[in-house]
Amino acid sequence: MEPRATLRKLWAPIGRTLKRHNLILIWVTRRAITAVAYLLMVLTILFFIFDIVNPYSPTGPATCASVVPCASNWWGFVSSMFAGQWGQYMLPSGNNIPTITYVSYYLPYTIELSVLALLLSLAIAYPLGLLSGWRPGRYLDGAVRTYTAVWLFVPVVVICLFLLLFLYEPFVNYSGDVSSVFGTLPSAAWFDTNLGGTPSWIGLWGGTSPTGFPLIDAAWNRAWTVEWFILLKVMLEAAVIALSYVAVFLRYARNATVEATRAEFLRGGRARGVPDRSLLWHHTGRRVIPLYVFTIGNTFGSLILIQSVVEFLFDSHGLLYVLLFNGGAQLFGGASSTLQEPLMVAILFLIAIALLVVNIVAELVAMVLDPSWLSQKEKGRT
Amino acid sequence: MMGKGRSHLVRRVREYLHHKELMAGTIILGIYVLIGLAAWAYYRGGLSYLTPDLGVYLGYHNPVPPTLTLYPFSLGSFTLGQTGGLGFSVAEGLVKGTPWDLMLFAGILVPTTLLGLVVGVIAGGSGGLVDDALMTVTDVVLSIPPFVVALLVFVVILPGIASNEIPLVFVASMVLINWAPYARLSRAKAKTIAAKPFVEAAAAAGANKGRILFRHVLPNSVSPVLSQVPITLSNLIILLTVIPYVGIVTSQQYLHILSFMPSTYFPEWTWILVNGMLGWHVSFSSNAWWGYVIPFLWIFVFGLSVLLFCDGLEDFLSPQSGSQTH
Repeated sequence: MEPRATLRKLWAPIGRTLKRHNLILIWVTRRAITAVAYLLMVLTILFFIFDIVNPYSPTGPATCASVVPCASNWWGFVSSMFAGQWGQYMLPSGNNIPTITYVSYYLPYTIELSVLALLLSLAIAYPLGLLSGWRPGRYLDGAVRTYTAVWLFVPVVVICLFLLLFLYEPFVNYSGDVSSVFGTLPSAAWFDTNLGGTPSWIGLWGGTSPTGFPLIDAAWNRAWTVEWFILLKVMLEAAVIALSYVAVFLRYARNATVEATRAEFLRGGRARGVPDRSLLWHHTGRRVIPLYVFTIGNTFGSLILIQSVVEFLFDSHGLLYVLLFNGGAQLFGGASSTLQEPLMVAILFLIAIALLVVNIVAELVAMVLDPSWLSQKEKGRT
Repeated sequence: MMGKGRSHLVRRVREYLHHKELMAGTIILGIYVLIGLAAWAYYRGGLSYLTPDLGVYLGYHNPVPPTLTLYPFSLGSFTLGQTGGLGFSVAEGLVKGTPWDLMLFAGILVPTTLLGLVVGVIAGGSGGLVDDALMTVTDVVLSIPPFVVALLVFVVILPGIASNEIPLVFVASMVLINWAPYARLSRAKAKTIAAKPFVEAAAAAGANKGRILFRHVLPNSVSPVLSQVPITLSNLIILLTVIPYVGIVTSQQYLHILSFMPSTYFPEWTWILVNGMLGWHVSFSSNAWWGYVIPFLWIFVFGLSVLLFCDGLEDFLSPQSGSQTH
């Protein structure tokens, strides 16, 4: 008997048992395997760029006799990335700290900002996408399409610089200090005048304790003026991100809704007298949520780009600011600036993990809202 | 095999001319192309160099505003740097930059679309192992944000490239990173097309796989791909606008702010926009609005025309308007 048929005979009872009892188990297994494979592929690409092709690397083209000796570092690289040993970061003073420590000072702010920006974007785009896709061609659809057309081509840089022009004076007046116009936390001078000194829960580099997320920590420590300040800043940045991101998102969202409204069961519901409002918000709304969450995964590149620009221009010290600033410093500072490779590799690895998380969350949401989604996926319809 | 005949072509052309969205996009894009051709014909050798207005030193508070006369036509001057300096004419910059930018955008968007379309059609039309393999590759490429790759390419690869090959490397890297969404979209459409009766009929008539894919499946899978083009263009414009700004903030050297242009004073729309914004932004009292408003409007109208063109074309090619090939 040919090998394939043998394998199939052996697998059949196991597959039947698994399938009968646990589609979720299959999904978890498959997801775990694809997640590891995906991370390995991303790390291999990073390894190729930073260790083989990179002229500054100690194992780069200058010292590589051929590709094979350099490729033998691959397993070491991959295992250390998974283990969290991301190398050292050189501070301006010349001392080294572990890259993972340096990253942990800046990561919470970026996560905080992305979550808020995504929530704001979804809050705007969900109803708008549903309403405009429900009746394509009407006024609301026209308004949404116009909004998309306009804000898609106003570069975020222009929006940010324009806003900063008008916000500069109010921020300076509020804080009494030019250096707190930018940045997440108020300046040291603001703390001195308003609170009589920088509080103990703000550490070096602006890292906060106990959780590391400035919004949560300020409330935890009952510093309400600081909390208000941070909230203003973060909501402002989230609004600017949402302004551009919603334009990209709505294009996908509207198409997804138009597809979803073609479902047969809606026609049946309408014939039976189910009110239009219920058909729209309850039925189509539920079907459309997984599609919207998948869209976040599809437009992740745009979100990263927009958020990096906003963090950079508002000078808020999140991880994407560090990425842009360090990348820019290497790019424009010339050969004299040191290449902080481990930092770049670490940040890119984290971005890949973030996308993986978004995709997994999207699939979980789809499973919860639509129990037939799993079996549809098994049959290969998605 | 009977063709559809000349009258069908005439009818389609007439439909094209009557499609408002599509015609608006085509006309505006056509104007840009004409300006690009005119610039190339008029400036010839001087097309890659912006001539500084050596007689005019634009200080902190006296940039040259635009005039409202047709001759001499002037859209004002913008300065390099943040404290004033040599003045460059906005009009000259935008016009000279048109052929370069059109080539840049076309050189990135067209190969990206084609590559994504072909990969998606092969994946969706073939199914099975080919589909799985291609989609895994697509997912990995999709997960890498294009902006990160642009940064990486220049941080890591720049030192080894001759300065006049840099734009090519930039274009190639942008194409390699941006094709993934197109593959996803065209694969989804190709799957539904491949299940349609006329494809089965073609197979029964003896057409081989390649012919079916490229003669029947591909032409009908183009529509969803077109909706992604404006988004890629928008990301590209943001990228081009932010790289010079990052350069200025981190290096304080305004002359080399766009490191992938072959030389300094190379005309390019986003370069003029960023310079105009900086010159205005730092000295709030000078308000040289023409330095950023006019380039911004120029780029904005271009983007809008691409959006109109792509959406109109998608609508024009959709099955409702009778274009589905049999």
